[in-house]
Amino acid sequence: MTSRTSSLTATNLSMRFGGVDVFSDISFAVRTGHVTGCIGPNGAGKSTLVNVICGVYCPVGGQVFLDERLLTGASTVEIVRRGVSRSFQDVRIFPTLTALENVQAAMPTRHGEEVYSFLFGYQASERTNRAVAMGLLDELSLADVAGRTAQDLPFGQQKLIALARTIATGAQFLLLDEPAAGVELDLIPRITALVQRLAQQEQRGILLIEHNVDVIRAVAEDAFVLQGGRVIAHGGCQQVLNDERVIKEYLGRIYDA
Amino acid sequence: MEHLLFIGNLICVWIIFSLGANLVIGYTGMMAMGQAAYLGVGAYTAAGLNIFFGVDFFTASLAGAVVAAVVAVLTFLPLLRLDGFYFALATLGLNFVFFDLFHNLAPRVEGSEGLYGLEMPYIISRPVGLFIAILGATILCVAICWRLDRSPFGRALRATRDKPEALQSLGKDPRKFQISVWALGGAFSGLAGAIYAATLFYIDPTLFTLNTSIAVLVFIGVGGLASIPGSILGPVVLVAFTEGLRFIGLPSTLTAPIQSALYGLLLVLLMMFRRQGLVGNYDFKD
Repeated sequence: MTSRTSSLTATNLSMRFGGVDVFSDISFAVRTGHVTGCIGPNGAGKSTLVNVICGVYCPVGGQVFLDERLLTGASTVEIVRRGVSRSFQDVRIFPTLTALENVQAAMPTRHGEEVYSFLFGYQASERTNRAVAMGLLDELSLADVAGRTAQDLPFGQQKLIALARTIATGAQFLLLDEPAAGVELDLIPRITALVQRLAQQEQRGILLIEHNVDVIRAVAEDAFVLQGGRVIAHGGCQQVLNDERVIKEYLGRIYDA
Repeated sequence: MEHLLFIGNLICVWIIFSLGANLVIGYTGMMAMGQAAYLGVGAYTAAGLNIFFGVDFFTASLAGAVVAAVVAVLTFLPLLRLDGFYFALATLGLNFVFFDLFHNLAPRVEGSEGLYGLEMPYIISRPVGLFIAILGATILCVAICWRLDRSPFGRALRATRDKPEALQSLGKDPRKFQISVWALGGAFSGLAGAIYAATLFYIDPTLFTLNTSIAVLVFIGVGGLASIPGSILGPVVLVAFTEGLRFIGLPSTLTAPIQSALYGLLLVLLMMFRRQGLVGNYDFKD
């Protein structure tokens, strides 16, 4: 879509709740057209990192830039409008909306969505939105549940709907908080294929937070590892996953179990 | 016959009032417990403009709706910081504030507590004409809500109710939808108030109290939340229920207590066995 690459950069981010340091001095960059993986054990501060980038929390130190523009300090809504959207680890789907409505509600067009415009004149844009939303659902094998109320669907499908919803915002940068966690194993290739397509065809920049190392290995070019509030390794994905310290601190535990 | 038309008018007033309250409470999930304040603002604006300034009643009714919407937004902005229980409690306060305002500031006709002496345009000066006009206004309001229910705006309202923080993460400000729908709900209440004044030919502050705010909660609770048929069915069933009891020939001293007791019983049974209301689409438990 855009030929120019842009980047989402975090420099020396630190976050503290009360007297507890969640993380400190975290720097990384996500570029359009690339997938950056973020791995770390529970409690490493991954979700807090997403919250800080998206303006839910204000960091105690450091800044986030979208290209040269400062993002830190802007509201969540404003940050999404500038092109950075996130998904939630714990889904937070709209329970009483259908799967399709969930995705449509996320689309950036505002035709018919205002108190002064809901009576007439939005049918054409609504049809387009619907087609785009159906396309996304179809890509995640959700086309046949499009009309079902979200709360009646199993957790794995809700998770995929939430992923489709984040993508539907059209944001150039997507922060995906464990999109594969809790999803049926045979759907995971669908997710990795979608993430790859978003990066390669649509030139979106993706920060993929995952516990599942295979998912990271399948799609991420770069990766960094959070442990105890610090980045203990960063660089090319393979290099990071083979890093001795990472294997010992993090991967080792998984393979032991 | 005239009494039946009067009851028809009354049902229409409550339908329009319920439609507005349901947009706010059922669709958007805000526990509004002071809607009677906006009903009163609409009634006083329309009646006042008509009686003291000679504005024709159709224009005065529209003005009632617009002024109620503006007042609704102004009173809503300070409430934006609150949610859940505290929001409900604060809206409860609107009843008392506005009752006192109506009581102390609103104009009254000499020798009475309220306003009377509306001048109706010729076509609605007779009961049948008035009923047809009120029915027309009600159908128009139902049509507006019906469009809203299926529109992207309606979808955004339900999303706001379900998970406001998720909507925020998608780049849409839930507060914007809350303010918009509060204004719209205020406009419906204001129009209902104007029509209420036309139905009764007399208004005073006691019509716009906590009781009236609770009545509309009961209407949409019984009819069904987030449902247009619910907003219609609630007033129809409950007004028919109370009016119907008059005709079964109870001694007049017993009618009122039995009416209240049965009304209460109906509500208890409904909340026990059918919480979403008769035809509702939403349960606050969700």
